[in-house]
Amino acid sequence: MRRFISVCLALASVGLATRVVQGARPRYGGTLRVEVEATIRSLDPAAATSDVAEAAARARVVGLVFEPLVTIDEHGLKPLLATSWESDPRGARWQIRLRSGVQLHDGSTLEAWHVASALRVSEPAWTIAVESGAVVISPREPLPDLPWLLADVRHAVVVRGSDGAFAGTGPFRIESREPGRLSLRAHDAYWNGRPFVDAIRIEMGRPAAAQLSDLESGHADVVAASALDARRITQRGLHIAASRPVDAIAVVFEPHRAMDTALAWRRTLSAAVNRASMSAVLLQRLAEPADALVPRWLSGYAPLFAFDRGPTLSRAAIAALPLDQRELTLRVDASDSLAHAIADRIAVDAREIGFTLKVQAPLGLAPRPDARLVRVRAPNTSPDRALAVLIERIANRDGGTVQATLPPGATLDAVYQAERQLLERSVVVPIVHLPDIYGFSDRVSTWNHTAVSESGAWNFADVWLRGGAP
Amino acid sequence: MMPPLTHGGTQRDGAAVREVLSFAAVGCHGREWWTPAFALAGFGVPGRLASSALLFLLAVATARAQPATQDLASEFAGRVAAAIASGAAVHLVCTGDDGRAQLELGRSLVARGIRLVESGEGATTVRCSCLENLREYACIADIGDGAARRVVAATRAKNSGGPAVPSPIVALQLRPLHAQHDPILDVATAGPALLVLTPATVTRIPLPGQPAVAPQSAAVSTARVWPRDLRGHLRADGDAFQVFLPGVTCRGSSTPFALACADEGEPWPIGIENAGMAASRNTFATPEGFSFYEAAPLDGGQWLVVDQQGMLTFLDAQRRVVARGDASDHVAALRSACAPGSYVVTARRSPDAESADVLRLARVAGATLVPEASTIALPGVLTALWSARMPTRPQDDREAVAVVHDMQTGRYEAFHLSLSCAR
Repeated sequence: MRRFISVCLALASVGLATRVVQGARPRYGGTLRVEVEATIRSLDPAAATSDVAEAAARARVVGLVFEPLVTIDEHGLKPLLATSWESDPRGARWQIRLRSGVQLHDGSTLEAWHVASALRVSEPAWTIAVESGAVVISPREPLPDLPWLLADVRHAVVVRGSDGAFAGTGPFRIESREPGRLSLRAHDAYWNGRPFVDAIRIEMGRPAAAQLSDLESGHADVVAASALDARRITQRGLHIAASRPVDAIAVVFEPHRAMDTALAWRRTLSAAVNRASMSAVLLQRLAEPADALVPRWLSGYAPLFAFDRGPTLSRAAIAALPLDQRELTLRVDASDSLAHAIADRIAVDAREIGFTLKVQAPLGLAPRPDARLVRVRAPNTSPDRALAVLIERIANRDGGTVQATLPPGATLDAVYQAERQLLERSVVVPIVHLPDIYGFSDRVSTWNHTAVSESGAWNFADVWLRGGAP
Repeated sequence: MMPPLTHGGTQRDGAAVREVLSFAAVGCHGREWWTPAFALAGFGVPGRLASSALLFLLAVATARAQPATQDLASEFAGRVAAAIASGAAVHLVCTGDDGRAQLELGRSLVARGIRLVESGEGATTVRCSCLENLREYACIADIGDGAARRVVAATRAKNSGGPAVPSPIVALQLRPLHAQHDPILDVATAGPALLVLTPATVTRIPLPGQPAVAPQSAAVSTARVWPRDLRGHLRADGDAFQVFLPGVTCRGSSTPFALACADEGEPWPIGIENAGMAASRNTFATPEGFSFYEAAPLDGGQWLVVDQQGMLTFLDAQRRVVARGDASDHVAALRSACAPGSYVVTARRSPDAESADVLRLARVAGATLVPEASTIALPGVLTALWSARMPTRPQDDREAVAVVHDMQTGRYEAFHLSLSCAR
């Protein structure tokens, strides 16, 4: 049965993805209309934001306008604005050579000092110099995996003009910004080939339901969708594309439920969650059941967590628990309908073994919960960095029950042991991994590549529009 | 200034091969396709269903990184085996593939005297998984429980930037050197001539392009009676050469041609310490007394030998048996600058006496042989296989001489055997 589910899930993904890939000879022109729920306040890649949705949306848009020195795909690191990089054996001093002839959006040519200036903003603690046309980076501490770090969108090269304008090297340049709307224009001199569409118009702050409606009524070409909407979109003859699973959904127990004496209790709750069913039915086979925090495609070891979840309580033992241990409250983000649906499903599973789980989605003050359902984004990077970032993001939300440290460039066995150490207490309980899902209008086609990469990045330079205008 | 840099190379660090220092690059036009394989890998269900992920891994690997991932599985098996005490009972539970990792592991463990059991009770449980992440192809094993729990991993870095250096397509290259009706034991190039060793003589034949002079022969003078399976080896160094026969050693020169023999045994230059071949025998023995027919020196001071049972056997740096492989009659090491790593060529006598032998090329990964695509059918039965160094080749290259007996024509033919690479 599980094999059947896996195959169905895989086929569904392929089918959805390939429809967007197929197309005839591409046409240039037109405006791609995109809608997002978040409001992007700043397009500066180095700017910090505590708004998770804004950070995610900004990462996507920034990738259209600005480019880092290197990028990461399924084959590992790939050069982008850099052509080569080299370091001393410790990774204390890196020399990076740049691609020549790259034209910035303002018409000037990218030079090493542009890159050095941009990196000084995103990493003020690094010593960055220009030597013989190359950028030389000396991090505060040796970083043997610095290229993996440079691939982060935060390190995209931004040339800051004296008038406050940003220029980048990406396939699109910023044309205008109005409240709730961002307009991008194709960068004609883009070093990797001019995009097919002339412009992208991004409507921000559009609620999920409005986006879906706009897609169905032909007022939008690309909208963010959730797994709950996938069937509806495809039934209307529209297309869906999904990334690989990038969001980890996990239950994180609060400190008063995180004592070692309650380990079996937490394990029992964890084991009660029917992840496979949740992924297949509730999430329309667009999610991956999670035994580990880091998604399998980023870790390479996740299946090992399917073994040995440890002893759990019997039904009789659960029935004998004091009432305050049989009843618990799970808090979810009120604005995250998908998380709410997942929490409801967890409540059903918990009830089946004798627990009463209340889902709490407060808009204001609310009683202290026993656990939270958190949604954290895994970065598209090496397993050590992915785990470190996930832990940091969870720790930021749970107030300190979750801690782990990993040295940069940690070996896979060290990463695995760190994650095992983190999960064996069952304070953090992975539930599912979710992809980024997008709905596309039927006039959207792509050339050679998918519109959404495996990591979820927007590949709108390869998008072309059937039927020309608007 | 920057310290010396590695350019586009790899650095070996235990099991992990990490590209760490330098990368060259070209354009980024070749961006990824969304393939069915990715969907399989990305959305499979853990546990048994994660098999799709390794199917993906293997499928993709087959297309672009087969040697790396095959190496990985083999090396992983060796590492896990090394972490478990010989004689221990092991309950093996692998996921993330369709039994490949479990099969490899099981074989390697059994070869080390470890018992595989169905139940985890009273046994060491080994949980393993082979998948990939963005940084590497990865196999990882979680061994044992509680305080005794250990983790063993083997990884292979993916292309870490720049234009990927394509893996060489390695092939066996066979070049005919000489043919005659008298039995050939070995041939070697000495100065401008080819030396041919037979049971009774060494013959000097001018190489092509050299002034045509009549072949010269010198008798191997000995009071010994040769064994039925006579083996002999020639080793040339410039004009000088040595002949090694069971219980007999000869020294000679190519120009002027001369040969002097003595009935005394000496160690044979076959890449592993030995006391020479005893008179009336056809085997060698290590100083520790391990008998073998042929030996191929490998990277890391190890050897692959054909033991007296006709089994390929890995010896560690202390010449202890660490693993056994398939049956084989011959083995020789091959090396080329274009193909990093240890390669061996093996041959096994066909059960059908009329059939020709086939040379098989394999790459050595830990204590396992990874078959390469290249095989060569010989024109007869392989009677001798010796490592050889050709004077015109780089010092590090390791080549071989193969002698074949064509049963139909009755001829013996000597071939020069080397690796060739295509990218």
